[in-house]
Amino acid sequence: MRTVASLYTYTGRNLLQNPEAYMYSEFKGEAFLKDYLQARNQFAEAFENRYLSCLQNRTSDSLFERRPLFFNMVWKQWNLLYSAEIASLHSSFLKGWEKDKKYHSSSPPTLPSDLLGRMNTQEVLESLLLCQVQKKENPMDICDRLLEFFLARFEITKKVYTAYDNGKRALSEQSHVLVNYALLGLNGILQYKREKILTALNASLKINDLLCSAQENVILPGELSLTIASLRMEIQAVKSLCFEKRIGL
Amino acid sequence: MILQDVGMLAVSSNRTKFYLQQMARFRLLPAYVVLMEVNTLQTPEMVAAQRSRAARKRTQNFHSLNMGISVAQLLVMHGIPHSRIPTVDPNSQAVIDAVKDCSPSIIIYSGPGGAILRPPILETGKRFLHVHPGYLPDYRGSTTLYYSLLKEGNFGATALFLDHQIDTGAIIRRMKYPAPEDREGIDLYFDPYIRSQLLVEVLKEYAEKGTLEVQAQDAGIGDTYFIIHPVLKHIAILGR
Repeated sequence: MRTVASLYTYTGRNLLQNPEAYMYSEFKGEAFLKDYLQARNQFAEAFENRYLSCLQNRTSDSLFERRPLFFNMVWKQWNLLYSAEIASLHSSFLKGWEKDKKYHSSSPPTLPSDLLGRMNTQEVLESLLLCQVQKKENPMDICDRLLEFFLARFEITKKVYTAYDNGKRALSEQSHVLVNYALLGLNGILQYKREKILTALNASLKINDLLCSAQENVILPGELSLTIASLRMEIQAVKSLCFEKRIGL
Repeated sequence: MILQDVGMLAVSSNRTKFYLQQMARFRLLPAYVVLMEVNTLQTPEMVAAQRSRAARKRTQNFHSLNMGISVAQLLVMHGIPHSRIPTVDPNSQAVIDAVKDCSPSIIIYSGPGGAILRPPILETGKRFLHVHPGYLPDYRGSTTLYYSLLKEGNFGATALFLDHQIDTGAIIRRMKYPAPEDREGIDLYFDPYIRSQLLVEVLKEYAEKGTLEVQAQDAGIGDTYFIIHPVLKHIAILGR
C-alpha cells in the first residue's frame, strides 16, 4: 500500500533490506506532517484489516499460543486502540484461552535478573512491555536501561537482532523477526509517553517506518496486534506533540 | 593576525566558509589549512544544501557572510597556506600525513557531517578543536539543535577538544542562543553561523592569553541523540 504523491516518502522501499539513514532530511512544510498522518493511518487500517481476517479465521501463531497472559494484559490495556470488531474478537479469544489449562499454567515473562548474560530479545522486550504496562516502580530503572540499550542499537545498526550479549554485541545474525521490531517500537512509544524521552519516540518512528515499509511481511497475528498498537500510539504521541507546539493539523 | 599554532582540517561546506570568513573578519586566521575535497563526490551537506527549500528562497548572504564563494577562493583571497587532499575521509592516510606534516598543534576541525575522527588521526599529537552544535554534556550526538529546540526552545554550541568518544572531550567554552525566526535554514545557515561565532570567541581568548582553559567532562552524564526523524524535525521547525 502506498500513498499517491505523498510527501511522506520514508516507507516506499523495504527498510529491512535497504535501511534509511535519515541524514539531512529535507524540510517540506506543514503538508509533510499531514501526509505523514494520512500515510500512517492508512497503514494502520491495512494492518487492521489483515488482523481482523486472522482473528475471524481463528488463525493463531506461536506467539499467541505461547503468551496468552501477555496478550491478555496487552489487550486489556489497549483495546480502545483497535476497532470495535477487533476488540470484541479479542474478548472472545481471551474467553477461549481462559478455559484452556495451558493458560492457567503459563506465567508472565520476567526481566532477566542480571544483565550480564545472553539476552533473548523477544523475551526481554515482552517483559519490558509488561513492566511498563504494569508501571512497576522497582524494575523501572532496569527497564529504562535495557530500553536505552535496545533503542540505541537499533539507531546504530537499523536492526533488531534476536539475541545480544551483555549489552554490546548481537549474538545472532538473525534480524528479520518482525515481532521484535513491533515490540521495540511499542516499548519506545510507551517510554516516551511515560518520561517524555525524545530519543525513544525518535527510534520508534523509525521502527514503525520499517514495519510499514515491510508491510507485506507483517502477517502473523501477534506481529499485527503489536504493530497496530504501536502505530496508533505513535500517531497519538505525534498529534499531542504538535498540539503542544501549536502546530495545527 | 595569523595564529601560528592554529591550523584547520576542513571540507568544502558552509561551516568552513563561515569559519574562514569570521576568522578573517576578526583577523584570527589559521596558519595552515588541509582542505579535503573531491570534485565528483559531494558531501551530504552539499547535497542537502542544493535541494533545500531554504536554499532556493534565500540570497547568498547570511549575517553578511557570503555562501556563494568557495572555500578554495577564500583560502587564496586571504593568502592562507593550504594543501588539497583528494578525499573527504578525515581518517584516510593522506589526511593523517598532511595533518602530521603541518606545524600548528591545534587543528580546527570542520569535517563532513557524520564523520568521526578515529585513533590514528587523533594520535598524531595534534589537538582537534571542534565546535559541536549542542550544549554539552546535555546534548551529545547528532542533530542536537533540533532536539534542543523541541525540549527547551533554544540552541546551544560547545567548543571542545575531541577525544576517542563522541562529544566527550574537554570543554573549552559553551554558549546558548535563542531560536531564530526562520527555522527552515537551521542546517544551512544557522548551525554554521552559531558555530563560527563561538569559534571566534575561543580564538580571541587564545590570541589574548596564548592558551585555552578547558574543563573535563564526565562521560557518564548527559544524553546521546541520534539523527532526528523527519517528523520530529518538522515539528521542531514549525513549532513555537
